Amino acid sequence: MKKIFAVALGILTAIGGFVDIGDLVTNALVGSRFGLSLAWVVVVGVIGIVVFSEMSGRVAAISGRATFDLVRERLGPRIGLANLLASMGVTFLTFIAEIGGVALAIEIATSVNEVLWVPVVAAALWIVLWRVRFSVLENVFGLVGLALVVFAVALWKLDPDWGALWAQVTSFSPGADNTWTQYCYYAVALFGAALTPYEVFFFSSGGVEEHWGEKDVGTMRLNVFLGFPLGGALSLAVAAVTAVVFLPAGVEVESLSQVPLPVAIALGKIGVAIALLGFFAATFGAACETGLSVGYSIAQFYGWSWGKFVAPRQAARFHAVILLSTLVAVAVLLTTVDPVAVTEYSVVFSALALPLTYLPILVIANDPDYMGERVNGRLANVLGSVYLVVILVVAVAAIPLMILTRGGQ
Amino acid sequence: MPGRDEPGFRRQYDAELHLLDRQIVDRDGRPVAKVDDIELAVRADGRLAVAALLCGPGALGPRTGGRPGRWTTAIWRRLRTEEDPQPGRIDAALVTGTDNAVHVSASADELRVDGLERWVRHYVVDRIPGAGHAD
Amino acid sequence: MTARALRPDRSRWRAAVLAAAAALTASACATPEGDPSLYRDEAVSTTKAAHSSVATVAIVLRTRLRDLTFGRAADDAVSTAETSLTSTAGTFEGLQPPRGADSVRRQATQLLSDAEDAVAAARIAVRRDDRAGMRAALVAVTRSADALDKAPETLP
Repeated sequence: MKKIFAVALGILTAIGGFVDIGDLVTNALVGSRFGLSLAWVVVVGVIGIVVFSEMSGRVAAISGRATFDLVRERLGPRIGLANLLASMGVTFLTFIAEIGGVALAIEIATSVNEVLWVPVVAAALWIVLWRVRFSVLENVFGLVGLALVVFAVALWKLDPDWGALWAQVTSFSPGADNTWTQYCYYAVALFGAALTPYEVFFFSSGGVEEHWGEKDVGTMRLNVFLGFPLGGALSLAVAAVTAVVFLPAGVEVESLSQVPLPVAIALGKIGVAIALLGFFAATFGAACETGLSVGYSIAQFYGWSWGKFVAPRQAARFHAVILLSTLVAVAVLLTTVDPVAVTEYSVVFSALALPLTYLPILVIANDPDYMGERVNGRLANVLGSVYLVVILVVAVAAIPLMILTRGGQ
Repeated sequence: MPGRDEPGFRRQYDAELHLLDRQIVDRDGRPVAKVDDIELAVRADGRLAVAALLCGPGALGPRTGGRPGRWTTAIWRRLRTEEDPQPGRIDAALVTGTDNAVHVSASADELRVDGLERWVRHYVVDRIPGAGHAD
Repeated sequence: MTARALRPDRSRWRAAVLAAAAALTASACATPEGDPSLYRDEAVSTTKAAHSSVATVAIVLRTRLRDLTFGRAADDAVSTAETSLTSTAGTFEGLQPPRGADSVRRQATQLLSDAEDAVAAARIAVRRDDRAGMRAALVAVTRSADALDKAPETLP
């Protein structure tokens, strides 16, 4: 009974923890501009994160080593360092976006400008990272993040023309108002939002901290195979409601404050309150994950002690990095840069940085020295190789598309 | 604990593949550092053997090479008080075994290869309330 | 050949790449001054962006009038849309119109300032929670949204 409860809790938190500011903003924006014609990218992205997380989770469980620990072993100090800087940079950018997202969620509830909330949010965040237990952090924000289910309920309540929505899904084309380059640019952005590298750093580091072993692989897989696709379904629900309400009205989503409007129309004040709670939990949880991931990646690269399971003084450099990145993130946000714009760039750069961590994990997952008999099976390798190609193509296309579309305009 | 002649290494070894850049774990299972470089010694029978594991930026910088490597070394040199600073060194005799990590028989505090960790702990982290509080 | 001998070559490459990047940046920042049809395109895309903000405000007013959302959330959504609209309009108004495009400028600017007035009225009413004001603003906002929506055809 206890075991079933633990498994269910894991799946639920995986669903709630899947969505972050990148998923919210990108899906809402794409839904309002392209309808559901890019929904297939979310599906492709979710399968990708499932493949990647399963591999790195298995590597963490069998070898006891987290992602960046292995990145350096496989790539050596020089390319490893370049990899560290790029991956940490993207994770840090996402961290800034998440803190800004929390501040925006509070702004919508209070109509007090987000910039004023940034120091408050950052202080609260740092206290959570300093003092609150890992399991509490993971479970509370994951479960409260499930409030975003309100978007699926809203979609059902809006009772759209389902046939027309399905026609958008299967159209695979940008529609009359957009060009193919814009379509491709947002395909890259959606892919990057679904497959952010920090999710994998966090997932594998958490596995090492919780001392996963061979027997935990089954549970880990259940979480990944059920939790992530259902989390992806939540992102699609966000895209669907904006496609139903905003696309016909000619409204393009450019701020977080527009995103709860379809829920308001469908469900009224209670819906809005639940949606705002979901925004807060999803972005705050992701801010914790990205903040920790910045620390995880550099600590694992240099072999420092790290983690939430030891007292901060036993992982002094790790906690110093978290403190420092929180301060720098606050400084960046206090320049009044638009967190939504930061988010849009962070998802594209995520797509760009993906191959750097994906390839070493794919190699290690096939190395019997680390994995013994638990090396990749046939299916994992076929999918893994297909996704290697997909990820490389997306990474190569990201910057040219960004320049061609002037950042999606 | 294995003696000097029979350290915790396998007899023949691809140090590049199996030793360099591996995590060093202390006797309590805590991460200490990475094997940033190794010190080799010629044994009596003329064969090469690993004499010590070297850790820290002073060992990693030269291995990184190029501008990033030179910068790493230069910053490390500047932050040290000694005239001619040497990278952290863990004697091969302390190594008890290698698998996905390199295990050593001392504790992190005894090894004293993580100067920055101790500095940050003393001057930053210990001054914040709750620093000694574990999960 | 030693690494040192290779170095000058490398720095020349670096200079070329830097120069190309600078040229690209400079050309991207240039305003579409000179060609009236480019200016008109700019006007059309500006009215489209403005329409998005104004239509957002219309949706907010309707949900707030039916008491489907909170006053603060509505206020925030309207204020954000207003900021975005002001910035869109400001960017366009700062462009130097080419000769022969003055009528485009006059009409587009008129549409934009009508939109700004309507949205400002909406913001004032929402913040005061003044239902009559919101109803009046909704009429103006809807009219402005329609005009902006038709701009691609109506602009000279």
